[in-house]
Amino acid sequence: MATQKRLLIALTIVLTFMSLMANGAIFQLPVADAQGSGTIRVTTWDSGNALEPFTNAIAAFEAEYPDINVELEPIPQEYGTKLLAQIAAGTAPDIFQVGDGDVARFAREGMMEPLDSWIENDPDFSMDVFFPGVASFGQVGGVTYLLTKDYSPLVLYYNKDHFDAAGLEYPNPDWTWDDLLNAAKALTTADRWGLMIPAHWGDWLWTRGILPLLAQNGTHLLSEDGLTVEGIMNSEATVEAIQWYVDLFKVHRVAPTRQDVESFAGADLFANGIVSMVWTGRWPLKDWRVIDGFNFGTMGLPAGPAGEGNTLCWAGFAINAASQNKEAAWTFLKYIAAGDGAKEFANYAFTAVQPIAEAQGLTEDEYDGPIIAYLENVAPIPEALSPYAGECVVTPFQQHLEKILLEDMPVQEALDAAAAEAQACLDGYSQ
Amino acid sequence: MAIQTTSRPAPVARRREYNLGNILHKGVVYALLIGLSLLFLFPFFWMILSALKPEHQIYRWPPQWFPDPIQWSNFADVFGNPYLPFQVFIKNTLILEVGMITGRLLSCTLVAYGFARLEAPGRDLIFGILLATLMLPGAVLLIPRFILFSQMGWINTFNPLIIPAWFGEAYAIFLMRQFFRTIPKELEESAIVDGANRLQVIFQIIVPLSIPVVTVIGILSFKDIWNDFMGPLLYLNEVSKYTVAVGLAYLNGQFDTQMNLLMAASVTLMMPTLILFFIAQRAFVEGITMTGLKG
Repeated sequence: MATQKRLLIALTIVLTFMSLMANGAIFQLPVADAQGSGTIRVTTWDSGNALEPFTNAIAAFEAEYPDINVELEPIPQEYGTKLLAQIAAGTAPDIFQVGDGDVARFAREGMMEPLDSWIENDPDFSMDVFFPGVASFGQVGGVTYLLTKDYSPLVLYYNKDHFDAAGLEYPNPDWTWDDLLNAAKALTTADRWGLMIPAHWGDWLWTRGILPLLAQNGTHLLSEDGLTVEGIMNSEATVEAIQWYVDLFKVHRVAPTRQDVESFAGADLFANGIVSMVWTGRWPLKDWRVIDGFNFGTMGLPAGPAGEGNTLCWAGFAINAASQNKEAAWTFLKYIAAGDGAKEFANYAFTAVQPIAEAQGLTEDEYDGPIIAYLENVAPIPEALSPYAGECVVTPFQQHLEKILLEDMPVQEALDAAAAEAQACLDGYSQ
Repeated sequence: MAIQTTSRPAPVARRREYNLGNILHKGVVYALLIGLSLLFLFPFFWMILSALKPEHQIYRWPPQWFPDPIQWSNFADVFGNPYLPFQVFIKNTLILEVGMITGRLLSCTLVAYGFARLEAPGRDLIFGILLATLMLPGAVLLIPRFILFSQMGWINTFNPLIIPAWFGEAYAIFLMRQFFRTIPKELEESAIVDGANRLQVIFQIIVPLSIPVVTVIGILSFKDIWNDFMGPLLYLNEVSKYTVAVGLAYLNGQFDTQMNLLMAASVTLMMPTLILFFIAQRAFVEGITMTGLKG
């Protein structure tokens, strides 16, 4: 009996001990495992000083998560070529950067891990921290594939000295197309243009820069479902917006043509006072801010007949669908997109994380404040609406816009032809 | 006396005429040469000036010729940048240079000798196929080669760059074969009569007589490897394994170019090729006189 008692006590002790172990295994280990461990590889097209946020964020992350080792593999040029070769060979990094133009295409090819289940199962993470219009650039058909790295809307920069000399009021949030055109006319002189549009490098076919004009006139290049071009690319509203754009060069002559820009052999027209206003992304701001005595301001784009409209140039991070270490990849992805790592990136480009933007005082900044105030009414880019948009929609649009600009083809006729070509191409893919 | 006085003026006049024509001729030639060399030197000159400017001065209109102030710190910014370990890039490039040039010269010499001298059935057909590979666009081979090397586990090592160089290179083989065919067969035959075997013939007769073509291939290879961007970019993943050409791309990214730093780095990193070019000029001439084939 005593032996039996002793056996029972021993058994109880062993069982208690084992259940404690099991408890640990069931309830504790998976929590540790949910963060992942091991090595993950991350790639970006950034180069030079733009790698600083990566190295800083990785160092801080590895200190916080000692079980995860992050290797950065930057590809400064030919990013797409190398990434596609790696994906084809099954050796692509666990996290890669994707530009807005590739989001729908990569999603169609199944290269990116859908993030919704990761987001739902992670109590520490919420999509609510992002600016909604910005985060939507990482979604295709309602599925989130990417978290935002950085972005830029289109912005209007203006030379304050030129406005002062001409006795004009600076651009303000109530500006319309007419105000922009009138100011551009008043600022244009024999050796100066009033407005450079749609980009500071002089590509007058740059569709991304023209897209806000369409949005401001309540139209687009294709339907929201990405299937229809006819009646949209050649609609009355699109024709009107493109006519207004073309007239800047050909009728009012307030904007330098591509040939005009080329004749300056790469010189910076805005910083040299050769144009008084420029409509482009946020990127040149950091260079212009440091020029001594350069007196300029920024403003959101003017409203068109249908109101305000803009679009974004956007980049995000995706998890490789074939990654062998998705848990660790997710832990790192949320750290750089929404956690402390995102603060590092916020020092270099616009952040999508609202609390970080507020903490940075971006809304109060002399230059960034007016830009970030216009993140509503952001139109999706054609490439996000259809994976075939680059080839089927943007290319014929650009080819026919060039005919309008160089060969005086009537806008309606050119856009009818472009729309027919684009529709045939899209229909070819949907069959 | 009379004969002397009448006979003298004529040559003097001719000499003067000759001198005038000569001066005019030389003047035109020199003016052309100076004009053209200035035209070709201009981008180089602009590169050096841009390397010393603050970035926004490069894009100034009207162009600002001379940097103000002279910004020597561009060089320190490039070569002191912790994200751009150029000393590592240079070391990696030199490893590739030595590994690839040695392999290419050795393998191409053997293969080219075979095509130039050895009688074998189908030799010319194989040579034709070899030349046909030159016509393949590089982009076609990119992905298959990448998949092949990744299955061999060679990604992120120098193997996919160095090892193929030990299996010949079509253009170099073609150049060498053409050159070997100009060497008189009698030289080899007398060596064989003296008891030399094929390898001795190649390395003691053919190669010493082929210094010009070996130099040309060596120099061209050096330049190609130094400038090769796609190969190292594709096959290498870590910054610590990248080469000079990939390092330079860091200053010339897809969306952000730091032009003044790029120029500072380019000015410095083109020096090895430039120095080699000046050495090579002499080597070409020496090579040609050594062979005893010309003149």
